[in-house]
Amino acid sequence: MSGPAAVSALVEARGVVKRFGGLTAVHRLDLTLWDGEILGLIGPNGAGKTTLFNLLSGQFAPDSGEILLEGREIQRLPSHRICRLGLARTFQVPRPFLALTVSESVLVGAQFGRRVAGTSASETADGCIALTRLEPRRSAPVHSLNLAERKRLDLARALATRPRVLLVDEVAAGLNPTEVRETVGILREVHAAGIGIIYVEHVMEAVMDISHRVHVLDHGATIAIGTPDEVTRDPAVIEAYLGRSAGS
Amino acid sequence: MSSFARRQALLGLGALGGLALLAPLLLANPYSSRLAQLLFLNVLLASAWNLVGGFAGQISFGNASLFGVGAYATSMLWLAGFHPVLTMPAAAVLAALYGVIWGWPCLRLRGPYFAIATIGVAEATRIVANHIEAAGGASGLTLPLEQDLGPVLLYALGAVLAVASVLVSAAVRRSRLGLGLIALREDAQAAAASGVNVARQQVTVFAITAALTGLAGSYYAVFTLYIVPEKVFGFDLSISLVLMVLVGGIGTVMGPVLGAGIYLFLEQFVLASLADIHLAAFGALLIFIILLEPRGAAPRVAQFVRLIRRRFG
Ligand SMILES: Nc1ncnc2c1ncn2[C@@H]1O[C@H](COP(=O)(O)OP(=O)(O)O)[C@@H](O)[C@H]1O
Ligand SMILES: [Mg+2]
Repeated sequence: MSGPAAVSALVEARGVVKRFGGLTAVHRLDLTLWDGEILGLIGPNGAGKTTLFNLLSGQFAPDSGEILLEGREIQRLPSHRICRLGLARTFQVPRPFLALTVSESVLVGAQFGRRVAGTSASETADGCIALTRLEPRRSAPVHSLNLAERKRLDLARALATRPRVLLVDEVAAGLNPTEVRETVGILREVHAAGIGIIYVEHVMEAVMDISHRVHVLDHGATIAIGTPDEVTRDPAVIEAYLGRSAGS
Repeated sequence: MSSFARRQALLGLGALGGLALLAPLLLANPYSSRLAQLLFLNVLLASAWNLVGGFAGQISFGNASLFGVGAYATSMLWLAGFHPVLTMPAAAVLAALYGVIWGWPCLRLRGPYFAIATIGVAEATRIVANHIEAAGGASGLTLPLEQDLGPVLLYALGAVLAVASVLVSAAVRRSRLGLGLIALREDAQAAAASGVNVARQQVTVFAITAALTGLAGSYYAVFTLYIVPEKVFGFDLSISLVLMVLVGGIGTVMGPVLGAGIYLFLEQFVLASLADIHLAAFGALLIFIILLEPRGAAPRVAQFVRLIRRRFG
Protein backbone atom coordinates (compact mmCIF):
# COMPACT_ATOMS: atom_id res chain seq x y z
CA MET A 1 0.00 0.00 0.00
CA SER A 2 2.95 2.40 -0.25
CA GLY A 3 3.19 5.07 -2.90
CA PRO A 4 5.46 5.03 -5.91
CA ALA A 5 9.15 4.94 -4.92
CA ALA A 6 9.94 8.22 -6.69
CA VAL A 7 7.51 10.16 -4.51
CA SER A 8 8.81 11.30 -1.16
CA ALA A 9 6.96 11.25 2.14
CA LEU A 10 5.83 14.60 3.46
CA VAL A 11 4.82 13.17 6.82
CA GLU A 12 5.76 9.85 8.28
CA ALA A 13 4.70 8.45 11.64
CA ARG A 14 6.61 5.35 12.79
CA GLY A 15 5.43 3.24 15.68
CA VAL A 16 3.80 6.20 17.41
CA VAL A 17 2.27 5.53 20.82
CA LYS A 18 0.27 7.90 23.00
CA ARG A 19 -1.29 6.92 26.32
CA PHE A 20 -3.60 8.92 28.56
CA GLY A 21 -3.27 7.21 31.93
CA GLY A 22 -4.49 3.66 31.32
CA LEU A 23 -5.98 4.44 27.91
CA THR A 24 -3.84 3.95 24.82
CA ALA A 25 -5.26 6.50 22.37
CA VAL A 26 -2.71 5.81 19.63
CA HIS A 27 -1.07 2.41 19.51
CA ARG A 28 2.13 1.77 17.51
CA LEU A 29 0.80 3.62 14.53
CA ASP A 30 2.54 3.86 11.16
CA LEU A 31 1.16 6.44 8.77
CA THR A 32 2.48 8.13 5.64
CA LEU A 33 1.38 11.18 3.72
CA TRP A 34 3.00 11.22 0.27
CA ASP A 35 3.93 14.40 -1.54
CA GLY A 36 1.00 15.68 -3.59
CA GLU A 37 -1.52 13.57 -1.76
CA ILE A 38 -4.79 14.05 0.07
CA LEU A 39 -4.94 11.34 2.70
CA GLY A 40 -8.33 10.72 4.27
CA LEU A 41 -8.16 9.67 7.92
CA ILE A 42 -11.34 8.07 9.21
CA GLY A 43 -12.48 5.91 12.07
CA PRO A 44 -15.21 5.78 14.68
CA ASN A 45 -15.41 8.37 17.46
CA GLY A 46 -12.54 7.93 19.89
CA ALA A 47 -10.39 6.11 17.32
CA GLY A 48 -7.50 8.50 18.00
CA LYS A 49 -7.65 10.78 14.95
CA THR A 50 -7.54 14.07 16.81
CA THR A 51 -4.90 12.71 19.17
CA LEU A 52 -2.77 11.84 16.16
CA PHE A 53 -3.14 15.43 14.92
CA ASN A 54 -2.12 16.70 18.35
CA LEU A 55 0.99 14.50 18.13
CA LEU A 56 1.89 15.52 14.58
CA SER A 57 1.47 19.22 15.39
CA GLY A 58 3.47 19.04 18.60
CA GLN A 59 0.69 19.69 21.07
CA PHE A 60 1.67 16.44 22.80
CA ALA A 61 4.90 14.48 22.52
CA PRO A 62 4.42 10.77 21.75
CA ASP A 63 5.32 8.25 24.45
CA SER A 64 7.36 6.42 21.82
CA GLY A 65 7.88 6.37 18.08
CA GLU A 66 9.09 8.92 15.56
CA ILE A 67 7.38 11.57 13.47
CA LEU A 68 9.13 12.89 10.37
CA LEU A 69 8.25 16.00 8.40
CA GLU A 70 9.98 15.93 5.01
CA GLY A 71 12.47 13.48 6.48
CA ARG A 72 13.23 15.48 9.59
CA GLU A 73 12.38 14.24 13.09
CA ILE A 74 9.92 16.56 14.80
CA GLN A 75 8.44 14.53 17.63
CA ARG A 76 10.32 16.51 20.31
CA LEU A 77 9.80 19.96 18.82
CA PRO A 78 7.33 22.50 20.22
CA SER A 79 4.24 23.45 18.20
CA HIS A 80 5.51 26.78 16.92
CA ARG A 81 8.69 25.19 15.53
CA ILE A 82 6.70 22.51 13.75
CA CYS A 83 4.44 25.18 12.30
CA ARG A 84 7.45 27.12 11.04
CA LEU A 85 8.84 23.95 9.46
CA GLY A 86 5.66 23.76 7.38
CA LEU A 87 2.99 21.76 9.17
CA ALA A 88 -0.25 23.56 10.02
CA ARG A 89 -3.58 22.36 11.37
CA THR A 90 -7.19 23.25 12.00
CA PHE A 91 -9.11 22.25 15.11
CA GLN A 92 -12.13 19.96 15.32
CA VAL A 93 -13.83 22.66 17.40
CA PRO A 94 -12.55 25.93 15.91
CA ARG A 95 -10.29 27.90 18.24
CA PRO A 96 -10.61 31.53 17.17
CA PHE A 97 -8.83 34.49 18.77
CA LEU A 98 -12.07 36.11 19.91
CA ALA A 99 -10.67 39.58 20.58
CA LEU A 100 -9.31 39.97 17.03
CA THR A 101 -10.90 40.68 13.68
CA VAL A 102 -10.86 38.16 10.84
CA SER A 103 -7.97 39.83 9.06
CA GLU A 104 -5.94 40.24 12.26
CA SER A 105 -6.43 36.54 13.08
CA VAL A 106 -5.19 35.46 9.69
CA LEU A 107 -2.29 37.90 10.00
CA VAL A 108 -1.18 36.01 13.13
CA GLY A 109 -0.52 32.96 10.97
CA ALA A 110 1.10 35.03 8.23
CA GLN A 111 3.41 36.92 10.59
CA PHE A 112 4.48 34.02 12.77
CA GLY A 113 4.35 31.06 10.40
CA ARG A 114 6.88 29.71 7.93
CA ARG A 115 8.95 32.42 6.30
CA VAL A 116 8.91 32.40 2.52
CA ALA A 117 10.93 34.94 0.57
CA GLY A 118 9.08 37.22 -1.82
CA THR A 119 5.61 37.69 -0.34
CA SER A 120 4.68 39.98 2.53
CA ALA A 121 2.62 38.79 5.48
CA SER A 122 -0.31 41.00 4.55
CA GLU A 123 -0.35 39.71 0.95
CA THR A 124 -0.34 36.15 2.23
CA ALA A 125 -3.15 36.92 4.66
CA ASP A 126 -5.23 38.57 1.92
CA GLY A 127 -4.76 35.54 -0.33
CA CYS A 128 -5.91 33.16 2.40
CA ILE A 129 -8.93 35.32 3.25
CA ALA A 130 -9.93 35.31 -0.41
CA LEU A 131 -9.39 31.56 -0.78
CA THR A 132 -11.61 30.79 2.21
CA ARG A 133 -14.34 33.19 0.98
CA LEU A 134 -14.05 35.37 4.08
CA GLU A 135 -13.56 38.63 2.21
CA PRO A 136 -16.99 40.04 3.13
CA ARG A 137 -16.16 39.45 6.81
CA ARG A 138 -12.54 40.58 6.84
CA SER A 139 -13.11 43.49 9.25
CA ALA A 140 -15.64 41.64 11.38
CA PRO A 141 -14.75 40.78 14.97
CA VAL A 142 -14.24 37.05 15.19
CA HIS A 143 -16.83 36.62 17.94
CA SER A 144 -19.52 37.62 15.44
CA LEU A 145 -18.73 34.70 13.07
CA ASN A 146 -21.02 31.67 12.76
CA LEU A 147 -19.75 28.08 12.88
CA ALA A 148 -19.16 27.72 9.14
CA GLU A 149 -17.23 30.98 9.08
CA ARG A 150 -15.20 30.02 12.14
CA LYS A 151 -14.22 26.76 10.46
CA ARG A 152 -13.09 28.64 7.37
CA LEU A 153 -11.21 31.09 9.58
CA ASP A 154 -9.30 28.24 11.23
CA LEU A 155 -8.43 27.09 7.72
CA ALA A 156 -7.38 30.58 6.62
CA ARG A 157 -5.17 31.07 9.68
CA ALA A 158 -3.50 27.69 9.13
CA LEU A 159 -2.96 28.38 5.41
CA ALA A 160 -1.49 31.79 6.19
CA THR A 161 1.46 30.04 7.88
CA ARG A 162 2.33 28.81 4.33
CA PRO A 163 2.39 25.13 5.19
CA ARG A 164 3.73 22.24 3.14
CA VAL A 165 1.30 19.99 5.01
CA LEU A 166 -2.18 20.83 6.27
CA LEU A 167 -4.02 18.76 8.87
CA VAL A 168 -7.78 19.29 8.62
CA ASP A 169 -9.95 18.04 11.49
CA GLU A 170 -13.67 17.62 10.67
CA VAL A 171 -14.03 20.85 8.77
CA ALA A 172 -17.35 19.72 7.25
CA ALA A 173 -19.01 18.57 10.48
CA GLY A 174 -22.10 20.59 11.35
CA LEU A 175 -22.25 22.32 7.96
CA ASN A 176 -25.17 22.19 5.52
CA PRO A 177 -24.69 20.47 2.13
CA THR A 178 -23.94 23.73 0.31
CA GLU A 179 -21.32 24.67 2.87
CA VAL A 180 -19.81 21.17 2.69
CA ARG A 181 -19.46 21.48 -1.10
CA GLU A 182 -17.89 24.89 -0.73
CA THR A 183 -15.41 23.57 1.85
CA VAL A 184 -14.46 20.62 -0.33
CA GLY A 185 -13.86 23.09 -3.16
CA ILE A 186 -11.51 25.09 -0.93
CA LEU A 187 -9.57 21.95 -0.01
CA ARG A 188 -9.19 21.11 -3.70
CA GLU A 189 -7.70 24.55 -4.29
CA VAL A 190 -5.34 24.08 -1.37
CA HIS A 191 -4.22 20.76 -2.84
CA ALA A 192 -3.80 22.33 -6.27
CA ALA A 193 -1.45 24.84 -4.67
CA GLY A 194 0.88 21.94 -3.84
CA ILE A 195 0.00 21.43 -0.18
CA GLY A 196 -0.32 17.87 1.15
CA ILE A 197 -3.43 17.27 3.23
CA ILE A 198 -4.40 14.81 5.92
CA TYR A 199 -8.15 15.07 6.16
CA VAL A 200 -10.06 13.75 9.16
CA GLU A 201 -13.78 13.65 8.45
CA HIS A 202 -16.98 11.91 9.42
CA VAL A 203 -18.91 13.36 6.48
CA MET A 204 -18.17 10.48 4.09
CA GLU A 205 -19.30 12.24 0.90
CA ALA A 206 -16.66 14.88 1.53
CA VAL A 207 -13.71 12.70 2.52
CA MET A 208 -14.34 9.92 -0.01
CA ASP A 209 -14.82 12.50 -2.74
CA ILE A 210 -11.41 14.16 -2.47
CA SER A 211 -9.04 11.65 -0.82
CA HIS A 212 -6.53 9.78 -2.96
CA ARG A 213 -6.06 7.22 -0.23
CA VAL A 214 -7.90 6.60 3.01
CA HIS A 215 -6.30 5.45 6.25
CA VAL A 216 -8.74 3.87 8.72
CA LEU A 217 -8.13 3.85 12.48
CA ASP A 218 -9.90 2.01 15.25
CA HIS A 219 -8.82 2.01 18.89
CA GLY A 220 -5.67 3.91 17.95
CA ALA A 221 -4.45 1.34 15.42
CA THR A 222 -4.66 0.92 11.65
CA ILE A 223 -7.40 -1.37 10.40
CA ALA A 224 -7.25 -0.56 6.69
CA ILE A 225 -5.42 1.58 4.11
CA GLY A 226 -6.49 1.92 0.50
CA THR A 227 -8.39 3.85 -2.11
CA PRO A 228 -11.82 5.16 -1.05
CA ASP A 229 -13.44 2.25 -2.93
CA GLU A 230 -11.22 -0.35 -1.32
CA VAL A 231 -11.77 0.78 2.24
CA THR A 232 -15.53 1.14 1.92
CA ARG A 233 -15.68 -2.51 0.83
CA ASP A 234 -13.24 -3.67 3.53
CA PRO A 235 -14.98 -6.03 6.01
CA ALA A 236 -12.86 -4.76 8.94
CA VAL A 237 -13.95 -1.21 8.21
CA ILE A 238 -17.61 -2.15 7.89
CA GLU A 239 -17.32 -4.08 11.13
CA ALA A 240 -15.70 -1.14 12.95
CA TYR A 241 -18.43 1.26 11.88
CA LEU A 242 -21.48 -1.03 11.88
CA GLY A 243 -20.34 -3.14 14.83
CA ARG A 244 -19.99 0.00 16.91
CA SER A 245 -23.34 1.55 16.05
CA ALA A 246 -25.23 -1.79 16.13
CA GLY A 247 -23.47 -2.90 19.32
CA SER A 248 -23.93 0.01 21.70
CA MET B 1 8.58 57.11 8.91
CA SER B 2 5.29 55.25 8.65
CA SER B 3 2.05 57.17 8.95
CA PHE B 4 1.41 55.47 12.29
CA ALA B 5 4.78 56.56 13.66
CA ARG B 6 4.23 60.10 12.43
CA ARG B 7 0.78 60.25 13.99
CA GLN B 8 2.08 58.89 17.28
CA ALA B 9 4.95 61.36 17.30
CA LEU B 10 2.48 64.20 16.76
CA LEU B 11 0.15 62.91 19.46
CA GLY B 12 3.10 62.57 21.84
CA LEU B 13 4.29 66.09 21.14
CA GLY B 14 0.72 67.34 21.49
CA ALA B 15 0.38 65.66 24.89
CA LEU B 16 3.68 67.12 26.06
CA GLY B 17 2.61 70.54 24.78
CA GLY B 18 -0.65 70.26 26.69
CA LEU B 19 1.20 69.24 29.83
CA ALA B 20 3.57 72.18 29.37
CA LEU B 21 0.59 74.54 29.19
CA LEU B 22 -0.83 73.00 32.36
CA ALA B 23 2.49 73.28 34.15
CA PRO B 24 1.95 76.73 35.70
CA LEU B 25 -1.31 75.48 37.21
CA LEU B 26 0.12 72.20 38.50
CA LEU B 27 3.33 73.74 39.76
CA ALA B 28 1.42 76.38 41.76
CA ASN B 29 2.30 74.85 45.12
CA PRO B 30 4.23 71.87 46.52
CA TYR B 31 1.07 69.81 46.94
CA SER B 32 -0.09 70.20 43.35
CA SER B 33 3.46 69.50 42.15
CA ARG B 34 3.42 66.28 44.12
CA LEU B 35 0.04 65.33 42.66
CA ALA B 36 1.39 65.79 39.15
CA GLN B 37 4.42 63.64 39.98
CA LEU B 38 2.19 60.91 41.39
CA LEU B 39 -0.07 61.05 38.34
CA PHE B 40 2.90 60.63 35.98
CA LEU B 41 4.19 57.82 38.14
CA ASN B 42 0.83 56.02 38.09
CA VAL B 43 0.44 56.39 34.33
CA LEU B 44 3.90 54.95 33.78
CA LEU B 45 3.30 52.06 36.18
CA ALA B 46 -0.18 51.21 34.92
CA SER B 47 0.80 51.35 31.24
CA ALA B 48 3.78 49.12 31.96
CA TRP B 49 1.66 46.63 33.90
CA ASN B 50 -0.94 46.53 31.12
CA LEU B 51 1.59 45.41 28.50
CA VAL B 52 1.87 42.00 30.11
CA GLY B 53 -1.36 42.03 32.14
CA GLY B 54 -3.65 43.41 29.44
CA PHE B 55 -2.13 42.36 26.13
CA ALA B 56 -0.70 39.00 27.20
CA GLY B 57 -3.36 38.39 29.86
CA GLN B 58 -0.76 37.52 32.51
CA ILE B 59 -1.86 39.19 35.74
CA SER B 60 1.17 40.16 37.82
CA PHE B 61 0.91 40.92 41.52
CA GLY B 62 4.68 41.25 41.67
CA ASN B 63 5.59 44.42 39.81
CA ALA B 64 6.80 46.02 43.05
CA SER B 65 9.86 43.78 42.79
CA LEU B 66 10.77 45.59 39.55
CA PHE B 67 9.85 49.00 40.91
CA GLY B 68 12.08 48.43 43.93
CA VAL B 69 15.04 47.38 41.79
CA GLY B 70 14.71 50.61 39.82
CA ALA B 71 14.36 52.70 42.96
CA TYR B 72 17.39 51.11 44.61
CA ALA B 73 19.52 51.23 41.46
CA THR B 74 19.01 54.95 41.11
CA SER B 75 19.41 55.64 44.82
CA MET B 76 22.64 53.70 45.22
CA LEU B 77 24.18 55.11 42.05
CA TRP B 78 23.13 58.61 43.04
CA LEU B 79 24.72 58.16 46.48
CA ALA B 80 27.82 56.89 44.69
CA GLY B 81 28.05 60.22 42.92
CA PHE B 82 26.24 59.82 39.59
CA HIS B 83 23.71 62.41 38.46
CA PRO B 84 20.23 61.01 39.20
CA VAL B 85 18.93 61.42 35.64
CA LEU B 86 21.94 59.52 34.33
CA THR B 87 21.13 56.61 36.64
CA MET B 88 17.73 56.09 34.98
CA PRO B 89 18.93 53.95 32.06
CA ALA B 90 20.79 51.74 34.53
CA ALA B 91 17.62 51.40 36.62
CA ALA B 92 15.66 50.37 33.52
CA VAL B 93 18.25 47.82 32.45
CA LEU B 94 18.65 46.28 35.90
CA ALA B 95 14.88 46.00 36.38
CA ALA B 96 14.51 44.45 32.92
CA LEU B 97 17.26 41.97 33.79
CA TYR B 98 15.61 41.06 37.07
CA GLY B 99 12.26 40.80 35.28
CA VAL B 100 13.65 38.40 32.70
CA ILE B 101 15.36 36.32 35.39
CA TRP B 102 12.14 35.61 37.25
CA GLY B 103 9.68 36.17 34.40
CA TRP B 104 11.27 33.53 32.21
CA PRO B 105 10.36 30.63 34.53
CA CYS B 106 7.15 32.16 35.94
CA LEU B 107 5.64 33.02 32.54
CA ARG B 108 5.55 29.31 31.72
CA LEU B 109 2.63 29.30 34.12
CA ARG B 110 -0.61 30.85 33.02
CA GLY B 111 -3.59 32.49 34.70
CA PRO B 112 -3.89 32.16 38.47
CA TYR B 113 -0.71 30.05 38.69
CA PHE B 114 1.33 32.88 37.22
CA ALA B 115 -0.39 35.41 39.48
CA ILE B 116 0.45 33.40 42.60
CA ALA B 117 4.05 32.89 41.52
CA THR B 118 4.49 36.65 41.11
CA ILE B 119 3.33 37.23 44.68
CA GLY B 120 5.91 34.71 45.89
CA VAL B 121 8.74 36.32 43.96
CA ALA B 122 7.85 39.84 45.02
CA GLU B 123 7.46 38.96 48.69
CA ALA B 124 10.77 37.07 48.67
CA THR B 125 12.40 40.09 47.06
CA ARG B 126 10.99 42.40 49.71
CA ILE B 127 12.20 40.20 52.56
CA VAL B 128 15.69 39.91 51.09
CA ALA B 129 15.86 43.67 50.48
CA ASN B 130 15.09 44.25 54.15
CA HIS B 131 18.25 42.36 55.03
CA ILE B 132 20.76 43.86 52.62
CA GLU B 133 22.71 46.12 54.95
CA ALA B 134 24.77 47.60 52.11
CA ALA B 135 21.48 49.02 50.80
CA GLY B 136 20.38 50.38 54.12
CA GLY B 137 18.47 47.30 55.25
CA ALA B 138 14.98 47.85 56.60
CA SER B 139 15.58 51.53 57.27
CA GLY B 140 16.21 52.22 53.59
CA LEU B 141 18.15 55.03 51.98
CA THR B 142 17.93 58.80 52.28
CA LEU B 143 18.98 60.65 49.17
CA PRO B 144 20.92 63.92 48.99
CA LEU B 145 18.21 66.48 49.69
CA GLU B 146 20.45 69.32 48.62
CA GLN B 147 20.63 67.81 45.11
CA ASP B 148 16.82 67.80 44.65
CA LEU B 149 16.07 68.36 40.97
CA GLY B 150 13.37 70.91 41.76
CA PRO B 151 9.68 70.89 40.80
CA VAL B 152 10.07 72.07 37.20
CA LEU B 153 12.60 69.46 36.16
CA LEU B 154 10.71 66.73 38.02
CA TYR B 155 7.51 67.74 36.26
CA ALA B 156 9.18 67.65 32.86
CA LEU B 157 10.85 64.32 33.59
CA GLY B 158 7.58 62.79 34.77
CA ALA B 159 5.66 64.10 31.78
CA VAL B 160 8.18 62.67 29.33
CA LEU B 161 8.19 59.27 31.07
CA ALA B 162 4.39 59.08 31.23
CA VAL B 163 3.85 60.12 27.62
CA ALA B 164 6.60 57.78 26.46
CA SER B 165 5.00 54.84 28.28
CA VAL B 166 1.70 55.48 26.51
CA LEU B 167 3.44 55.69 23.13
CA VAL B 168 5.30 52.45 23.85
CA SER B 169 2.00 50.85 24.73
CA ALA B 170 0.37 52.02 21.47
CA ALA B 171 3.37 50.83 19.46
CA VAL B 172 3.32 47.39 21.11
CA ARG B 173 -0.40 47.07 20.51
CA ARG B 174 0.10 47.64 16.78
CA SER B 175 3.23 45.56 16.37
CA ARG B 176 3.79 41.92 15.48
CA LEU B 177 4.63 41.40 19.17
CA GLY B 178 1.27 42.85 20.21
CA LEU B 179 -0.65 40.70 17.75
CA GLY B 180 1.13 37.59 19.02
CA LEU B 181 0.37 38.55 22.63
CA ILE B 182 -3.33 39.00 22.03
CA ALA B 183 -3.40 35.71 20.12
CA LEU B 184 -1.71 33.83 22.96
CA ARG B 185 -3.92 35.53 25.53
CA GLU B 186 -6.99 34.32 23.65
CA ASP B 187 -5.75 30.76 23.06
CA ALA B 188 -2.13 29.85 23.78
CA GLN B 189 -2.25 26.46 22.03
CA ALA B 190 -3.91 27.80 18.91
CA ALA B 191 -1.36 30.63 18.87
CA ALA B 192 1.51 28.15 19.13
CA ALA B 193 -0.02 26.09 16.32
CA SER B 194 0.01 29.30 14.24
CA GLY B 195 3.74 29.72 14.81
CA VAL B 196 3.73 32.01 17.86
CA ASN B 197 6.60 31.28 20.23
CA VAL B 198 4.50 31.78 23.34
CA ALA B 199 7.35 31.77 25.85
CA ARG B 200 9.52 34.15 23.84
CA GLN B 201 6.72 36.66 23.19
CA GLN B 202 5.79 36.80 26.85
CA VAL B 203 9.34 37.22 28.08
CA THR B 204 9.96 39.94 25.50
CA VAL B 205 6.98 41.99 26.60
CA PHE B 206 7.77 41.36 30.24
CA ALA B 207 11.25 42.81 29.74
CA ILE B 208 9.59 46.00 28.43
CA THR B 209 7.16 46.03 31.35
CA ALA B 210 10.06 45.55 33.76
CA ALA B 211 12.19 48.29 32.20
CA LEU B 212 9.33 50.81 32.40
CA THR B 213 8.49 49.75 35.95
CA GLY B 214 12.15 50.15 36.89
CA LEU B 215 12.08 53.65 35.41
CA ALA B 216 9.04 54.36 37.56
CA GLY B 217 10.94 53.23 40.65
CA SER B 218 13.83 55.41 39.65
CA TYR B 219 11.57 58.44 39.16
CA TYR B 220 9.92 57.76 42.52
CA ALA B 221 13.29 57.76 44.28
CA VAL B 222 14.26 60.98 42.55
CA PHE B 223 11.17 62.88 43.69
CA THR B 224 10.63 61.38 47.16
CA LEU B 225 14.33 61.36 48.09
CA TYR B 226 13.73 58.56 50.54
CA ILE B 227 13.10 54.85 49.92
CA VAL B 228 12.42 51.88 52.19
CA PRO B 229 11.89 48.25 51.17
CA GLU B 230 8.45 48.09 52.78
CA LYS B 231 7.28 50.82 50.44
CA VAL B 232 9.10 50.27 47.13
CA PHE B 233 8.92 46.46 47.27
CA GLY B 234 5.53 46.53 48.99
CA PHE B 235 2.56 44.38 48.07
CA ASP B 236 0.28 47.45 48.29
CA LEU B 237 2.06 48.95 45.33
CA SER B 238 1.65 45.79 43.23
CA ILE B 239 -2.05 45.61 44.03
CA SER B 240 -2.65 49.28 43.27
CA LEU B 241 -1.45 48.74 39.68
CA VAL B 242 -3.86 45.90 39.12
CA LEU B 243 -6.69 48.04 40.48
CA MET B 244 -5.80 51.04 38.32
CA VAL B 245 -5.79 49.03 35.13
CA LEU B 246 -8.94 47.09 35.91
CA VAL B 247 -10.81 50.28 36.75
CA GLY B 248 -9.53 52.11 33.67
CA GLY B 249 -9.89 49.32 31.13
CA ILE B 250 -7.57 46.34 30.80
CA GLY B 251 -5.95 45.55 27.45
CA THR B 252 -6.49 49.03 26.00
CA VAL B 253 -3.92 51.77 25.50
CA MET B 254 -5.84 54.56 27.25
CA GLY B 255 -7.41 52.44 30.00
CA PRO B 256 -4.31 52.52 32.24
CA VAL B 257 -4.10 56.31 31.83
CA LEU B 258 -7.71 56.74 32.92
CA GLY B 259 -7.29 54.27 35.74
CA ALA B 260 -4.15 56.02 36.96
CA GLY B 261 -6.08 59.28 37.16
CA ILE B 262 -9.16 57.77 38.79
CA TYR B 263 -7.00 55.98 41.34
CA LEU B 264 -5.08 59.12 42.25
CA PHE B 265 -8.27 61.12 42.58
CA LEU B 266 -9.90 58.57 44.87
CA GLU B 267 -6.75 58.04 46.89
CA GLN B 268 -6.20 61.75 47.47
CA PHE B 269 -9.66 63.18 47.78
CA VAL B 270 -12.09 60.45 48.67
CA LEU B 271 -10.22 57.75 50.51
CA ALA B 272 -7.56 59.79 52.26
CA SER B 273 -9.72 59.99 55.36
CA LEU B 274 -9.96 56.21 55.41
CA ALA B 275 -6.17 56.07 55.73
CA ASP B 276 -5.04 52.52 56.32
CA ILE B 277 -8.06 50.80 54.89
CA HIS B 278 -8.01 52.73 51.63
CA LEU B 279 -6.91 49.68 49.62
CA ALA B 280 -9.78 47.68 51.04
CA ALA B 281 -12.17 50.50 50.22
CA PHE B 282 -10.73 50.69 46.75
CA GLY B 283 -11.13 46.94 46.37
CA ALA B 284 -14.79 47.25 47.27
CA LEU B 285 -15.16 49.99 44.69
CA LEU B 286 -13.44 47.77 42.15
CA ILE B 287 -15.93 44.97 42.72
CA PHE B 288 -18.71 47.48 42.24
CA ILE B 289 -17.21 48.74 38.98
CA ILE B 290 -16.54 45.24 37.67
CA LEU B 291 -20.14 44.28 38.29
CA LEU B 292 -21.42 47.35 36.47
CA GLU B 293 -18.75 47.78 33.81
CA PRO B 294 -16.45 44.78 33.54
CA ARG B 295 -14.36 46.31 30.78
CA GLY B 296 -13.46 49.34 32.86
CA ALA B 297 -13.95 53.02 32.11
CA ALA B 298 -12.12 53.16 28.76
CA PRO B 299 -14.90 51.85 26.46
CA ARG B 300 -17.44 54.24 28.02
CA VAL B 301 -15.09 57.18 27.63
CA ALA B 302 -14.38 56.20 24.01
CA GLN B 303 -18.12 56.07 23.37
CA PHE B 304 -18.52 59.52 24.93
CA VAL B 305 -15.70 60.93 22.80
CA ARG B 306 -17.32 59.54 19.65
CA LEU B 307 -20.63 61.08 20.64
CA ILE B 308 -19.04 64.48 21.18
CA ARG B 309 -17.27 64.19 17.82
CA ARG B 310 -20.48 63.36 16.00
CA ARG B 311 -22.27 66.26 17.58
CA PHE B 312 -19.57 68.89 17.10
CA GLY B 313 -17.21 67.42 14.49
N1 LIG C 1 -6.25 15.17 26.36
C1 LIG C 1 -6.78 13.96 26.59
N2 LIG C 1 -6.75 13.43 27.83
C2 LIG C 1 -7.28 12.21 28.08
N3 LIG C 1 -7.84 11.44 27.15
C3 LIG C 1 -7.91 11.90 25.89
C4 LIG C 1 -7.38 13.19 25.54
N4 LIG C 1 -7.57 13.40 24.22
C5 LIG C 1 -8.19 12.29 23.76
N5 LIG C 1 -8.40 11.39 24.76
C6 LIG C 1 -9.00 10.06 24.61
O1 LIG C 1 -8.31 9.41 23.57
C7 LIG C 1 -9.21 8.69 22.75
C8 LIG C 1 -9.07 9.15 21.32
O2 LIG C 1 -9.69 10.43 21.23
P1 LIG C 1 -9.63 11.32 19.92
O3 LIG C 1 -8.24 11.34 19.43
O4 LIG C 1 -10.25 12.61 20.24
O5 LIG C 1 -10.54 10.49 18.93
P2 LIG C 1 -11.20 10.89 17.54
O6 LIG C 1 -10.69 12.24 17.14
O7 LIG C 1 -10.79 9.81 16.62
O8 LIG C 1 -12.68 10.88 17.76
C9 LIG C 1 -10.59 8.88 23.33
O9 LIG C 1 -10.87 7.78 24.15
C10 LIG C 1 -10.45 10.13 24.14
O10 LIG C 1 -11.32 10.13 25.23
MG1 LIG D 1 -11.68 14.00 16.79
